[in-house]
Amino acid sequence: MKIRRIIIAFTVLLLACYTVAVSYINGTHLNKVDVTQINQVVKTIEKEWTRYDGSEDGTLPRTGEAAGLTYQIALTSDENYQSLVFEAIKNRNTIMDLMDSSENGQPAMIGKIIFLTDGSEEATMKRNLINMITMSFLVVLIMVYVVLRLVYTSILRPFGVMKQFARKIADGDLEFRLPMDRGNYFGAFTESFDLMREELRKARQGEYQANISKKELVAELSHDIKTPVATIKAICELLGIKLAGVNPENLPGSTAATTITESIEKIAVIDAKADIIDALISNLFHATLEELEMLKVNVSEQPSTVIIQMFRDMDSFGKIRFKNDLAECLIFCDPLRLSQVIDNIISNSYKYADTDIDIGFNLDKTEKKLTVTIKDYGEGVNPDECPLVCEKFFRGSGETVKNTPGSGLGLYLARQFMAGMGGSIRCYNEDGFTVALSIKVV
Amino acid sequence: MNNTILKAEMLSKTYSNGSIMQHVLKNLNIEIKAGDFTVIMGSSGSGKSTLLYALSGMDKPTLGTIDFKGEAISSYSNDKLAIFRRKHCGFVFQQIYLNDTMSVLDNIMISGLLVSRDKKAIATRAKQLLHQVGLNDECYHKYPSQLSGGEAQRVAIVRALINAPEIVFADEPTGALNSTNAINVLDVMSEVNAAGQSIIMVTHDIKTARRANRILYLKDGVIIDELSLGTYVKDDPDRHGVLRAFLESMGW
Repeated sequence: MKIRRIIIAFTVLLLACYTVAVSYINGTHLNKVDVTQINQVVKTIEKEWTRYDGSEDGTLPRTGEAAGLTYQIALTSDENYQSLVFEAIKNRNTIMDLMDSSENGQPAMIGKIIFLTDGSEEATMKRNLINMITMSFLVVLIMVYVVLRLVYTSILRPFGVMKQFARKIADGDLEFRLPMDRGNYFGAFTESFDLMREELRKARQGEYQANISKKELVAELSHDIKTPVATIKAICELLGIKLAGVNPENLPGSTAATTITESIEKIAVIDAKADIIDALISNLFHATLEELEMLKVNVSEQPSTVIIQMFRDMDSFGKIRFKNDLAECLIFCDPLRLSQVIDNIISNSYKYADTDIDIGFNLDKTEKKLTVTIKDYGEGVNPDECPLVCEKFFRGSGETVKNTPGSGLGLYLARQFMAGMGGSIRCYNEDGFTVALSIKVV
Repeated sequence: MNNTILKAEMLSKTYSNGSIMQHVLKNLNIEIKAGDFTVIMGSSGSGKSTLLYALSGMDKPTLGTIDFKGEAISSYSNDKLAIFRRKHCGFVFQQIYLNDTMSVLDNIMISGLLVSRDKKAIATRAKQLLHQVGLNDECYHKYPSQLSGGEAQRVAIVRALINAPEIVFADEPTGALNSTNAINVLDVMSEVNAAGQSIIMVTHDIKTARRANRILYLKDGVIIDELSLGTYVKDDPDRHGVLRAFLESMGW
């Protein structure tokens, strides 16, 4: 309702300007010439003139004031009579004849009485009027500016913001909030737009979540399917060996030999198909993992000091010890992935060894490699299994491993990540289990 | 004269702006030997000046160490660094930065008095150095505004040398001078170097770089190559040719 108030204020101001101007013009009147008064004055002067004229002494003063009117007398006998009269005409003064009736009763003009009216009044009025018009114009101009400003802030700017908003939405940035101003006309309009964005965002998030859980389900299922397939393969193998060992001679009936050969063939087919299923599942699993972006690595140049923080973050049991100082340098890594790798190694150590963990750093300047060794003092892994620990789904055969839940993916992913960062991972037994991470130096 | 005076290892300088990191210097390893005239070249924004300021202790590196005669100056506090710079480093800049309200001699002596109290000895040394760079007695009591650009820069060089620093760091010392003045100033620097003064200089100019006996070429914060001109005598025309070929191969 601001606009209405402004319109009212605008009108009132204009009216005020108008009233002031009109009343001023009405109020000022140029001093009208009062004929009777002037006549009276003339008569008085004439009378006085007669009186003076009769007597010898002195003359009537040439200027004077009567009834608020200043006058000047110019006699025809004066030298400057003409110039006085012309001056008076120029000044728009009132001029009356000065008559003398003393001689033979016949009135004769002996001069003029000039009434000095104020001629500057008109100029003053003109000036005042100009002032007033200027003021009014300025007031109107200011009002126009105010209105334009209001139009800008309440209409044009919100439109601009809206335009920007629409562009952000189009670019897919659904987190961008539309600033809302309930005070202006677009408040409600804006709100509905923002609601639209909110809904869109929710929908997209829901879709993303659904997608993720679908993929996770696929990944989980494909992992689970591997177990029955393995069983099928094992049984096929078993059956194949068993049937191969059967001597057809010992069996009754002539068809027995052919049945057994056929069975062996069919079992071989089942085995082959099971292999294919296994391979397909692996592909599926790999593809889903990749789609889940679990394997994406974004390498950037980072100060090596970030590694210290990663270990600190994992040191919830206070078991991590740094054997030597980290060489400060710039390394190529994806901090997120590297911290995942370190998390995994440290939590493995917590799970399986539960001893102190020693961290060592070694910077090889010529090879441009920073090696981080993470070493615990547990049992280590079975030497035969050592080369396999980084394989997909591989889990050790030790007792602790069997009693601990896990998927066999941690070190596999660690190897993928390290490769993605241009580094490598190496695992070996030395006192306990040791993992050496090699990171590329810039 | 083959001992290392300045050594930088895995030197990195990173400017961060919020989450955006700008690595200006990346894992640089540099060794400066006493008496070297080292020139750092590279295109704009390659990190030349940043490197000079990091090496001279004017700025602290983000990562890595700087050793000055076996002392790790990269771990010094700001105050300690300031004292270190006063005693061991001389600076010559493109902008000459002489104090306009002091005479030439006072400009030089004020630097000397930061380190030593012996006014007389400093004055003697200042006069001797001024003489050495070709400025005679008349200029002692002149003000910087009465000097030409080349003279002013020579005064700045004397100021840099007054405390007998181990290394003089020069950032484009001839950048603001006309060619005659530039040659004058460079001649002074060559002479000073011939007298055993180590100099590290950043420049864009091939004629300036020609004075050096070692050129480091910096690109995107990494020294991609270096050239030794030590085997060529000063006025060997090959010197220029070799340098030109080197710079061209660097994509100069």
